[in-house]
Amino acid sequence: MSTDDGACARTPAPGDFDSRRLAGGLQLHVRHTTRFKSVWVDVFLSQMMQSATVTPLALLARILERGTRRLPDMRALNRYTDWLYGAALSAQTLAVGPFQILHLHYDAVDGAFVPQEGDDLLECGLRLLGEVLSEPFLEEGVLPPSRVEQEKASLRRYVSALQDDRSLLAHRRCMEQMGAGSPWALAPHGDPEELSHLDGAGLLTFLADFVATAPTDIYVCGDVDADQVADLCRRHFPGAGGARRGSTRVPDLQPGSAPRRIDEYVKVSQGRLVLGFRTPVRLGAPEGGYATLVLFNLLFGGDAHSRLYSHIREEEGLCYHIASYMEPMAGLLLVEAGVEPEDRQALVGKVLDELHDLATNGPSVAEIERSQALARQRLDSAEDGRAGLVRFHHMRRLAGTDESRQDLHSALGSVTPSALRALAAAIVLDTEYFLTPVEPAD
Amino acid sequence: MERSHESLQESVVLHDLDDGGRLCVVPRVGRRCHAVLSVAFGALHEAGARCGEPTGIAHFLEHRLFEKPGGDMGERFSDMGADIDAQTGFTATSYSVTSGVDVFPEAIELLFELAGRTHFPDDSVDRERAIVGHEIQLFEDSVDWVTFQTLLGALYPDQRLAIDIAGTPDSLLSIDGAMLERCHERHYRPASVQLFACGPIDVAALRRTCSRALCSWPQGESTVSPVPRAQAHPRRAEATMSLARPRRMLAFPDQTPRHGLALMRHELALEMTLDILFGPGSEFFSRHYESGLLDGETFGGEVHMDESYGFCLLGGDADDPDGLQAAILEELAQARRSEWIEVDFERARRRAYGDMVCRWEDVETTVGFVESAGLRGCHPFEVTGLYDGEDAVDVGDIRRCLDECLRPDRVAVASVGE
Repeated sequence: MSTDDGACARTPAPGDFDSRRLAGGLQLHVRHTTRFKSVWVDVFLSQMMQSATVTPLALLARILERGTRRLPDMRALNRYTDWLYGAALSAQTLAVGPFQILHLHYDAVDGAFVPQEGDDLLECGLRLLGEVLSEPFLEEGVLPPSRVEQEKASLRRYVSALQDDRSLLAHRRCMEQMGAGSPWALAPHGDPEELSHLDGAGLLTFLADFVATAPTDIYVCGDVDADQVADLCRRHFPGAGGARRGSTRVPDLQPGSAPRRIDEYVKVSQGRLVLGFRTPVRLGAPEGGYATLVLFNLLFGGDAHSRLYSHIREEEGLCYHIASYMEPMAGLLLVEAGVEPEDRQALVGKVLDELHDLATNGPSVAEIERSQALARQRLDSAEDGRAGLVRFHHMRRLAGTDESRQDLHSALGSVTPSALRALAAAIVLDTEYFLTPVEPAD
Repeated sequence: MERSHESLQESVVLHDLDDGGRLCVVPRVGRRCHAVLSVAFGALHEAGARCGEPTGIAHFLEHRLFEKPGGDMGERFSDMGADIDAQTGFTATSYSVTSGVDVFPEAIELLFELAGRTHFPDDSVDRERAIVGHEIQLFEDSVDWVTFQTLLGALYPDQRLAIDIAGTPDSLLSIDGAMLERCHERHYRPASVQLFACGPIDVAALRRTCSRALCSWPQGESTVSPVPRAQAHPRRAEATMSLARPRRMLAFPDQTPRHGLALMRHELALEMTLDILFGPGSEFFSRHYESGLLDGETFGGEVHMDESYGFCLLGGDADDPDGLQAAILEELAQARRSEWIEVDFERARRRAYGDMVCRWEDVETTVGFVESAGLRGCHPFEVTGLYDGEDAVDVGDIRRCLDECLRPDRVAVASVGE
């Protein structure tokens, strides 16, 4: 069993989780630790994004939060979790690369820290999660039509409210352009246009089929016994996971023929610019390729000491917010900035100049060492948290690589200046997307 | 002085530093340390342009302290693998650092250098004005920020609270290097400093580091004067923004001045009151969720309590914002006569207790908890006592919240949308 009780500082363990297959495609990953005062459970069911299935799953996630056979409505559910010392329960869909994930989460205080001994809060949670998935509240054998319609309305409102977050909107629109026709262009919250033909009976069939066949990963983190957790999961998730998973190939993004430049008008106070660059590196790339991309992102625009931040924000004063981030499964590097239209050209020029300089002269030794220190510190300190370790592990499972934190940790140390320079030279601008505050003249 | 808490399995070390500052440490095992250096100088302490402290100078000063003769302090933190952040609030400015245990002593030295050493060349001040200008504009697109700002304007018209902490492009025009220097000298004194930290920390060594670092700061009593309590004049205010759906937020001012533990008790009682009447387990929430009047994503309440101001917020996005407002006020009018308080008190208390325990998990949230207690002059374990046991919040406290604060006849309204 992998244990990290935090008492001894050490290099990252080869594996952060004690993983075991419970049935077919159902995997349990347990992290035993005494450093927290609560127990977290995350259940992930995954499917490749497809236009026919993203919307029903997104709608179902909302309906699952509305009630179970035992706790028939939202109020009963919420009062039950409140009584469990404010346990949290949620269901939502999210995107990890080209996959749409149904993510169920439960967390509750560890029984050792509550004043009165009572229910086993972990067992209560696993039972609840199992019921949410396989025993939703039904009316005459189907999901209640009134609830389905309420959640359709909620989902429509939710999607239209997402437009109010301008940075998110610019990112979303840029990905839709870069990934047109592929899973990368689809959003995990589905398409409101596709909602009208969904009904309670069809959704219930979809749910049963999805739960039975989707690869399922359960993560449990806390002061727990892995064997006991495995027994509880077998009991409360009897039908999940389906057949053993084959490897799902992560699709490639088709490159555009020439850099695209897209301007879209939205009523906004400040423009939002997203530059989508393609890189030749994917998560799981051999021979330290991915570590090179991680370091490159950090020194380019991924942190407050990076080139983009210090040169474009601090020295040039061209913007307040500028940052780069990776889409590791697609091998994309995205630069995002809030910028006035009159400064946009200058800003794009500066970003490209920095990239060109890195491709010609490479980064300095100090820049590399700083990024290495930061990346390693983040990898090391990830074990003081929970969500980060789970995300790290689960994303690699989806990408079909078994790279551990320790693998990445050591690969970071072997990245050479010439590898970083070569990577910079291979990075290509694909799409320049600008959410502009300037209304078109016509 | 060290105190332990048996059921939380935590201990807290408090220490008064020689020059008047205070140190509060929560020792932990693990690899990561987090510390917050809090200086008792925030936007509400700004004396005004005539006194050389124009609106926004506290925030401006915080930004400019990152530049030193050797370059940007952010790089020096990054070099050691530490993350640095800073935040200016109404009554304090805080500088926070997160690092691995191996470099924590150096990170703390650097944290004191960041807050204590000044270097304000005029060209960098001009550049900063542009950056803060971009920052202010960026926030104008954030519906949360616009709503909060509009609501403060509706609660405290023509008072400092109603203006952005960062100031306005105009208020920043007169700031120059000499002015920043004087402002820093006046307010950044050892007696205004509290350091809160959590992690595998050598407390004695940290104490020595703090004392040594504070020696070089200007000595003597801080010239920060107590902030008079803001007077609420609730009214209605509107802000125009392009939104998918309008947002309606109500604010209920609390006019009773409170200090220390009494303030924290009242704050917790208000949070529990909002949970009982409007939380996810309330009858109100489920009824109006099902009717579509409110949504699960944006509807909710917040409590903001300080010695110099205090209010509760409640609201969210709605297709029918007037309907939402009327339903909330109706529920409050009924609450005095209803039995929900008694029926749901224990549910709300258990939920609050669980949330409190979880705030003692990560180093960051733990520091947040002890900081919020420390800045109000309370011991953290006095505060945990409000959640369970003989000193816990009771039904009478909840009833008092309805009488003193959550009154439908004293409400400010922010209406945001097209």
